[in-house]
Amino acid sequence: MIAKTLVAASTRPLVMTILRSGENYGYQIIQSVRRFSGGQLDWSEPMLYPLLKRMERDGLVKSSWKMTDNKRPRKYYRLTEKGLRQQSLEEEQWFMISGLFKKLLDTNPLPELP
Amino acid sequence: MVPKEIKDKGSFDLERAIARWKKEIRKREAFEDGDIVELEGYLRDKIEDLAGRMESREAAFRQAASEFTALEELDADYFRARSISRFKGRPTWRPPRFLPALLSNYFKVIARRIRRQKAYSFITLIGLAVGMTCCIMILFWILDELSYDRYHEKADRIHRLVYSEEIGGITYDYALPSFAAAPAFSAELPEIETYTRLWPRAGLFKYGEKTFDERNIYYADKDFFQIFSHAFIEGDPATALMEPGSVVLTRNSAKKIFGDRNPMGQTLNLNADGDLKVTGIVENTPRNSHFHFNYLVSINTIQGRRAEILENWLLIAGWSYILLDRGADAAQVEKKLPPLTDKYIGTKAREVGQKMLFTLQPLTGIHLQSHLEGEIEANGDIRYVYIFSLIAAFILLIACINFMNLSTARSADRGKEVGLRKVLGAHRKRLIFQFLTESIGFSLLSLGLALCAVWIMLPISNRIAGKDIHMTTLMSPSVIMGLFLLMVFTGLAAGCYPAFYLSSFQPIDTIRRKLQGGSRKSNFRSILVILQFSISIILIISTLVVLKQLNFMKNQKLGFNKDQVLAVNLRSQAIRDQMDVFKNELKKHPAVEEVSFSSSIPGEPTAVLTINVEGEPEDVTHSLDFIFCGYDFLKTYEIELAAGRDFSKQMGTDKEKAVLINEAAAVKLGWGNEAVGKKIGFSPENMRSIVGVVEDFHYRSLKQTISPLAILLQPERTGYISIRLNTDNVNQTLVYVEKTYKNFEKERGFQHLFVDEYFDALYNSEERLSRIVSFFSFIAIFIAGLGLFGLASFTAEQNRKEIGIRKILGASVGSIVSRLSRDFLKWVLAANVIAWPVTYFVLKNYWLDDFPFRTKMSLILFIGAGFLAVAIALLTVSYQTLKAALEDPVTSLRYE
Repeated sequence: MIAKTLVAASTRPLVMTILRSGENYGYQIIQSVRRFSGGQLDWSEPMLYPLLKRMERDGLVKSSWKMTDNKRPRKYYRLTEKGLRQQSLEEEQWFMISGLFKKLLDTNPLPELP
Repeated sequence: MVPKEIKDKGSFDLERAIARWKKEIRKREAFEDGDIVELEGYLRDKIEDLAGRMESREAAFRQAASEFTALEELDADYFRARSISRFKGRPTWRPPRFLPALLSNYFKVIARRIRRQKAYSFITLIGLAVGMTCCIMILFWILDELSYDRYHEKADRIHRLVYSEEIGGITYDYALPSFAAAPAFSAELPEIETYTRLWPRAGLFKYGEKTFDERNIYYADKDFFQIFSHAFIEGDPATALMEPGSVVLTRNSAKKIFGDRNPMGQTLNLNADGDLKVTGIVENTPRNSHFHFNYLVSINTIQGRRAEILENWLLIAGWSYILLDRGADAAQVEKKLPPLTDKYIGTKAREVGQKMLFTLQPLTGIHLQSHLEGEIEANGDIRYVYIFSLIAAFILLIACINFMNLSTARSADRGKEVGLRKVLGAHRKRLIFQFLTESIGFSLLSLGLALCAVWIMLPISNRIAGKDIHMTTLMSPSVIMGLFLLMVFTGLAAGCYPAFYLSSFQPIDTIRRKLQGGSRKSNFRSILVILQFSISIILIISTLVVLKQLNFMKNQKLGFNKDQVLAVNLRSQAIRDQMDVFKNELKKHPAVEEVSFSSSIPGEPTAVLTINVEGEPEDVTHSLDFIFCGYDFLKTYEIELAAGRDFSKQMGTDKEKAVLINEAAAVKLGWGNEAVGKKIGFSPENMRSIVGVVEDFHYRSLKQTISPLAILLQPERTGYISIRLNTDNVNQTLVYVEKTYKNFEKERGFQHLFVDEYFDALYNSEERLSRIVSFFSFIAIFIAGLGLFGLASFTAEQNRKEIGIRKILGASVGSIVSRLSRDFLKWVLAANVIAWPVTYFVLKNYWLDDFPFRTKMSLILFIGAGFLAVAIALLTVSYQTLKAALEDPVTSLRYE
């Protein structure tokens, strides 16, 4: 299980990363995260919606209603210009951290067992 | 959230289930229509996904819906996501946790309630106040008991070296070890920083022409003041006890001897030790110390023959204290003592058949936990701390129950208030908060009253308990904290049940007047009353049993006559030198019947010595208690002989060759009735024959068994003159005795006591216990009675119309009174059923069985206490019931 604080910190960049490739709706986003993380990152799922709402308020995403084939309305989200910029910014930061981990792990190996 | 109805449905309709689910969601304020549609979409997607994998659509729905359990959080999240101000907090539609504006309203309601329901408020307040007063007094007492010896800066590092020895299979525990031990251990063990020994003396100080017969003189080692913290007024703590012949005085003793002159450097003469130089003056020993000195003399003043006590491992002289290093572990140090003991004294101890064991006692535990032979002063008892804490808790509980019972009984009145508040939007939580505020308010008021009561009662209680506790004790943060906790705890304990009960009312019921004044809850109320009375009865029975035991001990046949015996302290060599002359001089007075010298008087500890018995191998020893006396000891105390004869002047060899034993000794040594003529002695070469066997008499208090005892004729080893009087005018005889004493002894003051008073004083702690327990049982029954009074008036008031109708239909006053009292009577009887076995069990196992000579807990005591409780209950209730029964039905029925 991944630490709660880390989940909280990573949710927004993850959502933005998924939306980078095009518009999507809530359920699909959740499914993507679950699939790619191999089930490791299990969000308390309905909690995503308030987050999307907040991102929309902050101007990172824009939403639009669309009808599906079986006549159900569905809210789709896509990244705005600002969201795109924010996404690449946060991507860099995450890669920086991850690269740092890698370097540190390489230069600080576990002590040899006697 | 899964709506309940769905679970029970046989056939599952997904659309209806979702519709219901949506209805639940809509109840939440934060969700907008769009949000709900979106969430519904999520739910449907999820169900579709799950439906493929699960056995039914119903299960899939449940699984999907179960993710919405934390709706409370979800809608708060939505609220936060939407709020532009990024204000993170409670959603605006939720009521604030705390409305300051309402607080004043709560207090107004409290004030109004007190004003309008004077009797009830009075009962509750007085009950709580009395309960709290008891609690605070007991708290003070306990704090004082626990404070003993803690004022020493190094208190946690100071330990007392104590000692137990095994002789002839019996273990004796002494507070006094040999004086050789502490220096030896201190030299060998680095963990021991230093030590001091205390040798107690009484002696005659001479300063100029004046003499002072003084007690509480202690000889101490030079590091005494490094170990114990005593404030110096003059002198240097480091060197005050360094030189031989130094003496340190307390403020009081300095004033007594030197008046206003400066004592420093002056010379005092102490009989055996010659001139002593005053090297320091310290503050008086605080009362909460386990020993009190008036004079401290440097221990190296002891020289010559007497110095043997400092080095001999087999002699017991006084007390020893050690100071451990910072960080040293007492248990570890203790483990190192036996090998050292063996090294120093092992072989010698084995020779005399002793097994010696030294242990350490933490200083702060001495006052409450140590009850060894030879304590420096009488100690307290941790058991009393427990007993009194329990009593305090009980009394507070009784008072809290009053509050609970009266609040719930009055619930019909409060019901309307609750209904109205709820209609106006008060949540249950808020109401609980209100009622708790109220009960805490009440408890705050009671605390105020209680503090006043404590202030008034402290002088009285100080006299009873022998303390000098001041209100200033209150000023310490821990006491204030404790009182605050007491107040909050009382408020919560008393208010919890009413708060939850009252706040549960449905507004519609209260307004429809459906509530019958809590008659629904009378079961719970009766349990509480039964509990109150059980506690009261337990306390009453305990009081009676304690009193009975006390009475039993005081009136038990002692085997000697303690009445009209005057004992005079004999510390005068002049009188010892002319015993017979002195005795004859006393006997000239017609009221003086008999005079005898003895080493101890009944009630005093005796010497314990080991003896050999003729015909047994030398290394087999027996230990006996010993009293040394002059002629006529048996006659003076009217002790009966079971066999043989008393010491006699006609038999010139009695002083060297005779001994008396008691029956217990005859039994112990295995001779039964044929002890006379057998021989015992301190060594096989020096045997004495038993000339008589005295009947067992209580030479110690009845708290102890009668041990085997031997009486030797050795007038020179005696410390008291016992004088049997036969007079109505004791004072006049006393004057004569004193005058005679002073003719013989010029310097030492005349000190006397009466043996019966002295003997009875052995039961002081039981006497005090009985007084305190009876006081508290009175308080308990008083508070319980108050509560009952309140309940009775409530019942009478509630049944006013019923009573009126009954009277019209011809019921007599008697039948109405008995009808109204029946319930209360039942409760009190039930309380007896609980209280009797509990009291019997607890008293028998935890108190009475400690006494070797004890009274029986007769059924009469229990019945008596039960009757008393019933009588008090009936009397309390009768005022209200009679009032109700005598009321003219016209008045009670006219009302509507």
